[in-house]
Amino acid sequence: MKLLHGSGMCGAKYTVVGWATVYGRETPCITNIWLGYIAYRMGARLLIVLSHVSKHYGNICALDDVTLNITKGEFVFLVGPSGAGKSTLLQLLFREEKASEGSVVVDNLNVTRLPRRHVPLLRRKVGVVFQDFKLLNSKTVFENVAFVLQVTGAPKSFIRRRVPQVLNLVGLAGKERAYPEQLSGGEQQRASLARAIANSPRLILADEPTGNLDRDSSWSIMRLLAEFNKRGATVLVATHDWPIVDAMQRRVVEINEGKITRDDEQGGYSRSVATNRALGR
Amino acid sequence: MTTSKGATVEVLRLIGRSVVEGFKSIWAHGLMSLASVGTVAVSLLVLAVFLVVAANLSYVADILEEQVEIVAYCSPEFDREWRETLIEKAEAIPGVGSVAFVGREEALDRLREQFGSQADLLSAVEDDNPLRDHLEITVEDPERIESVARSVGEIQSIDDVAYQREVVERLYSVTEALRTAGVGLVFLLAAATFLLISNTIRLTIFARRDEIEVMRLVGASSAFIWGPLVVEGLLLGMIGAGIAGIAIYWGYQDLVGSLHISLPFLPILGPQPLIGNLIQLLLIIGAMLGIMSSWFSAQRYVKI
Repeated sequence: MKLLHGSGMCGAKYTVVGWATVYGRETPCITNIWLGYIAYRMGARLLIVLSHVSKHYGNICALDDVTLNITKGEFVFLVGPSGAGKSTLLQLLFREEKASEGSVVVDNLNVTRLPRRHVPLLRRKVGVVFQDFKLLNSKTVFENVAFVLQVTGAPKSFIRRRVPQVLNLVGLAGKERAYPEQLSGGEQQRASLARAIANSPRLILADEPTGNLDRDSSWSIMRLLAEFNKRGATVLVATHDWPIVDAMQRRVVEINEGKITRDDEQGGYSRSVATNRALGR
Repeated sequence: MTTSKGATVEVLRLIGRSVVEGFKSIWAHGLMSLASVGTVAVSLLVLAVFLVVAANLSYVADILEEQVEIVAYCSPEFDREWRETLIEKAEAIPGVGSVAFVGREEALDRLREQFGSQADLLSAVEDDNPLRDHLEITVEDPERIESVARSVGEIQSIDDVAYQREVVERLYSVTEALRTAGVGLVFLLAAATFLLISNTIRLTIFARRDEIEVMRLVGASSAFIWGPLVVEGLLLGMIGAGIAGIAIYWGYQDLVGSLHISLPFLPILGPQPLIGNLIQLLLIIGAMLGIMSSWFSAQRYVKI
């Protein structure tokens, strides 16, 4: 069983499909254990593997044959015009949506084939942040963060220790008893960040996290995301916030009309920025 | 050992939380909850009334059935000296309970008694008693009355055999019809109750959509999300059933009390154990309806 350790909590059963295409060839399906081992040896560094993923809503094609790998510990910006498929891509990663074709593997879980009862296990590995925060207005900041831990069955003593810890991390110490509506937008987003990291997820997904925020707040959120990234989380941010993308110079994946049109190791919001940089302007 | 203990604690916590949240939500949707509880109560009360009436009818039928007896008329030339032999012969027939010989004089006396103040009417027949000596035979098993009667008829010096089973049979068929009608009506009412409860639960889901969304996002298990909804449905169903139970309890006790005074000879079942069993049944039905309808709503409106 030790061999399978790398293949995630659901065992080798759901591991397999993505890995073969990662290295550009079809790996023959010998046994689950064997493939689990391959996954363990070859794919240990990969956290997200999308291979030939498409998503259709009726006649509309939101994603079209997308193949994308993200390594553990990466910080990736997902950019592109509205309706390009950024949100859809993020939603595929925590099974809010299911891919129409292709396979999605997140932390060795084959998301497309994940049985419904195992979906919560996937979501506990992933922290998600939204443009509209999605905080519960009837609960205090403390309760909002504690809620995640309660939901996943954490003991009370742990919750009492952990919540102040993460609130401290996002700079909301002292705001435990405030209700979301009493906070500024930036503070609310920081509370929602605290909620996203309370479970120590390996992957943080952020969908337009700065869309409703002013410049300073946006920067503070991005700095926090970078900080979590430094502490080991893989971060994937879908954003329109071009000044920040340009300034941070991280990996940038651009989507247009459901297709990946650019994937720069270190890039800016638009191709021109990357080009300028390459040309040394 | 520790894991099973941990799992138990978790399940208990889940149940506790579900109950608390379920109660909260019933309180929060006062009017809608009231409507659901009311429908459950009315539906189950109708069921209860049908069942009580049916139980009493079949009780009456049972009593009458026990009273059904065979009357075997002796031939006019029957000699009373053979009385004992005749009784022994009748008693020897399998399935016979008791045998009593009634002389024609006694039969006339009884008739006179039944007529009471109008006994004068009988004066016309008094000089020449038209009645006959006969045997009154009870049977052990009312179902076999026909074959027993046939055997009795074969005894020498028995002229004619009569028994009245039709009354009992009619009563049974009425009871049966009443039960069928009751079940049919109850199914209709159950459907209405089902819709109302599931709608209430839908309202809860709508009111809590943000919370449910967050729960889904952070990886709450479906049991965690559905638990409070199912508990709410269960409570709505059981509260309704409880109200119906209390109503039938008081109502029936009153009815029995006043009937005992005004119509003391009418056979009617005592409140216990009839009503106790009925309340249990109502609670079970209410609980099942509640769970089923809330489960239906949860399945339908909360996607995981």
